[in-house]
Amino acid sequence: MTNYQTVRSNEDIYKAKAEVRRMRAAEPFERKLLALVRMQMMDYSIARSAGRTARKPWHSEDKNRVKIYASFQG
Amino acid sequence: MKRLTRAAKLLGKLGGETTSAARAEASRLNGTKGGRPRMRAEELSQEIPPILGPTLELINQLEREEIIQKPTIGGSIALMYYAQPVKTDDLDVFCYIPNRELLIDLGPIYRRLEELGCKINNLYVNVKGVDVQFLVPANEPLVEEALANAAPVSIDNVTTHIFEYEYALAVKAEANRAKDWAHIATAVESAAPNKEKLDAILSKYGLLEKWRRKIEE
Repeated sequence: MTNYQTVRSNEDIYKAKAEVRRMRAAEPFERKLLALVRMQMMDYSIARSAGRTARKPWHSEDKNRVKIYASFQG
Repeated sequence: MKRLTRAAKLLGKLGGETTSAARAEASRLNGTKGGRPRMRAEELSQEIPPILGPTLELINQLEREEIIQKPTIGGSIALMYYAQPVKTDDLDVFCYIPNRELLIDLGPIYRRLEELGCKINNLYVNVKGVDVQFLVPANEPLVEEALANAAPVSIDNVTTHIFEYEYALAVKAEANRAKDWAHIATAVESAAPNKEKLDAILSKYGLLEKWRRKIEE
C-alpha cells in the first residue's frame, strides 16, 4: 500500500491554522463555553495525574453534566 | 440520533469488551474514528444543559433586588464571546454597587448569594456550578467606560450585558499580567477588532505604546 504525503509550506500551514482559528471564533457562544469546560476538565485531570492542585471544572459536581460534556465531539 | 442509538446499543451489548470489528461497525454508524458513540454538533442544543444560563439568572436576581447594578461580563469570557475559546477558571462580572460609600463592600453580594445556596471560596463564589468573581470599579475610568458602553446580549436565553470587544481587550491590556497578554494574542489572531476604535481607547488610557510593543511587533 502506498502512502502519499502532501508537501505543505510553512505559509500554507499558517494559513490553515488561521482559518481554523477564525472558524472557532465564529462558532456560537454556547459551543465555545462547552469547549472551555472541556479544556477545564482536561487541565484538571492532567494536574491531578501530575500531583498538582487545580481548580475543579465548572459543574463538576453534576455527574450527568460531566458525562455529557465528555461525550461531546467538538 | 438514530445512527447514534444503534451504535450505542451495539457497544452496550458488548459490555465494554469490544472487538475491533465491533468498534469499526460502531465507528461506521457513528461517523467517528473511535468506537465510542459521541454526540454530534447538531444535537448540542438539544442535549447540553445550559452552562451559564442559571448563573446569569441568579446574577440578574441580585440586580432585581438592587444589590448590584448593571452586571456585565468581562475578562476572558468576554474575549471568548468574540474570539476563539481560551482556558479560564472564572467568570468575571463587573458591576456597580448602589449607594456605595468610599470603601467598596462586597459583603452584601456574598451574603445574599450564600443565602441563595452558593458556596464562597476566597474571592470566588460558586454560582450554580460556575466560579464567579464580582468586580466593582474603584477609580478605574477605563472599566467604568467599558461598563457604560457594554452591549446587551442573550446567553442561554438569559439577557445580560457584555463588554464590547475593543473594551474587553483594553481592560485586559490594562490588567497587564502575562496570561492577559496571552489571551489578547489568541483573541486578535482569531477575530480582528475594530482597529480605529481600539487605538482610540488604548491611546486615551495610555496603553497604545505597550500594546504595540507586546502585540504588533
